[in-house]
Amino acid sequence: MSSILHRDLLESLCPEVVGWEGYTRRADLKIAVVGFGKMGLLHSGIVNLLIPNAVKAIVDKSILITFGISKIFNSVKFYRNLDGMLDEAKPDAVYVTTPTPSHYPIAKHLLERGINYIFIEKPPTTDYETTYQILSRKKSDQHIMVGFQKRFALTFRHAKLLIDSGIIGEVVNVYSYIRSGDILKHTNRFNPLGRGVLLDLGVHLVDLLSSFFKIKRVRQAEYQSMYTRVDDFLRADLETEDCARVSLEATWSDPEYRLPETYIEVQGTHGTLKVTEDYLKVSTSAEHPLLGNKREIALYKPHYYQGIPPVNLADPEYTLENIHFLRCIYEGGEPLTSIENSLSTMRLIDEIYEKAKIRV
Amino acid sequence: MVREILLGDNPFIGVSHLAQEKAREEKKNLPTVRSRAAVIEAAVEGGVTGFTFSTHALNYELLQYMLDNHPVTLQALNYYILTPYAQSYVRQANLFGTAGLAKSLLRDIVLENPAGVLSALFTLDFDKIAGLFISREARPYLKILPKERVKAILLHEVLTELIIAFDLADLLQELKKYIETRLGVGFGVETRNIHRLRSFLDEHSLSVEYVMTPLNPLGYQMGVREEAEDSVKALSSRGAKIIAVNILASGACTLEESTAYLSRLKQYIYAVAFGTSKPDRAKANAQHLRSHLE
Repeated sequence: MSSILHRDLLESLCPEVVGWEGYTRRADLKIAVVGFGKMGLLHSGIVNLLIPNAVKAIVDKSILITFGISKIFNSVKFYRNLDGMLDEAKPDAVYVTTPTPSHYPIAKHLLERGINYIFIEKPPTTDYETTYQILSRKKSDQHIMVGFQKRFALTFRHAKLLIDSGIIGEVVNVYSYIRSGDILKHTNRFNPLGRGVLLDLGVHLVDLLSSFFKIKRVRQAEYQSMYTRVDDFLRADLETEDCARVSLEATWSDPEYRLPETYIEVQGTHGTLKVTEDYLKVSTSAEHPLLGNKREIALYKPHYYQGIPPVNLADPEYTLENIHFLRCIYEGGEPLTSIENSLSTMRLIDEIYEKAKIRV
Repeated sequence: MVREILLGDNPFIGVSHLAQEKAREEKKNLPTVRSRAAVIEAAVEGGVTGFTFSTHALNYELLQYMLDNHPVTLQALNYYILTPYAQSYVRQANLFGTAGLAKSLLRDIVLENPAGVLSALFTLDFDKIAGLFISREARPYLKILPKERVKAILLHEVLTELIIAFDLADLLQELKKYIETRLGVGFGVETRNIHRLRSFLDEHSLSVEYVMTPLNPLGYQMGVREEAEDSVKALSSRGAKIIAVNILASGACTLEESTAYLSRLKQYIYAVAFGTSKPDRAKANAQHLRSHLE
């Protein structure tokens, strides 16, 4: 293990894993999932690996899923109707993993039906206004977590700790991107939404940047459509309250990216920090105790995820995100990526789209 | 005692579990089919006895090339096929949605084996369709490779973890039966949750012939390391053949550190896999692993 990543630091970067078994020992916990696509399958799989058979009910409108898949998945009850599921299964918590336009009506309904713990896959809704609408309908004992799982990646958490500690001095300039090769053929899937890669994928980057820096305004933004009628590529320049420049790019049409990658490079007055889901590299002008009294460090995923997370399905941050949600249910706390904390991200998304003048 | 040293395919298809950046760099300089064949030849010289690979198109190209140009080596190796190649389906799901992907897969399976699908539908035995799906993925490779040398078809970890998570014992049984009896090949699973796998198998009194799982000194991709090691011992003692993968923790530890760690467990490990795109390293690593673990 790299000497600077001692147990105490890892536990402070990842408080979810401290005593995680306690949060997952609720044998009576009943979880429901609305939308059994890729993300529904992922979250319910992780939850069941953490707490065997916690997922009791799945709602999906597809006949193929409710009829065909239900014949294979015997431990879960499938429904085509949300109310029917709520009446019968009486879940303690509900995951909403349907396509984005349906998040708002489903979340609204779940709040009205008195569900106290709701997890909504990102983006929470299509824009700031509807995100705010969900928030305004929530009672004080109801909690909504948004699936911004990048905030649970230990590399990003470590990066934030180091930036906040002033290791690289004052932030001067930030270059960032999120890229994937998911959309390399024409598709109409996203056209009805009127928003493309920035909302679907770029929202992760915007959320991370919002958590790292105090963004004051959008200086300019532009987009390109390649395979859809919405933004397949988007570039924006932002400015922080301290007048640092932040540039961001989002694309889902880069064939070189087999898997999505988020990259943030921060130039400060005393050094540079580069971070992705996979690594953290820091280079400074002076040795620092937080860098193990060195001027440079390069840490990769295997340095962070040693025995963490306790179960593995897809990237580790998904499991940490789910443990975090279970911890909130167990302790009654507010999630790190609560709907309240997501408002600033959604406001910034709106501002970037407004600046880019996207018309579908 | 470790019985086999296997060559893995990740560097051949541009996969790195260390960083996507590294994978992209490697992909730009992806070895040609001739260079990949040279890596296999060198690995065999070093003592490698098998090749474990995903059902990726580049591996099909490689094995076809081996059949045409290196038939003796092709005949000499054992094969462990990992399927399905999950990433290609993730991409399709992003484009067409999950229901769209499921429909398109079902259509392909129906076109290929209408009688099998009809039988599954009439008997409401939907687990059988999963067997047809695996068969569809593996069949092109089974046509190229010498049958007696294909030791196992292993389920990709994503499929295994979902089977464990949703307690799909019937599905696992059906897949095992299909692969062992219909395809005439050994059956195995790849998992990053061996501790959960062990509980699942115990609970349902099931067994699998092969279990492929990460084993490295850092505990990377292993879950809680002590639990993983206990499960390796327990499953091995019950006859499962353990195949150790990601032994270098994606490059974060050295071969020496890895062999020192694996030596402690070598009586429970059947095979150890490593990957490289360089012939010299393939030979040297194979020799090193053989001398320390066999």
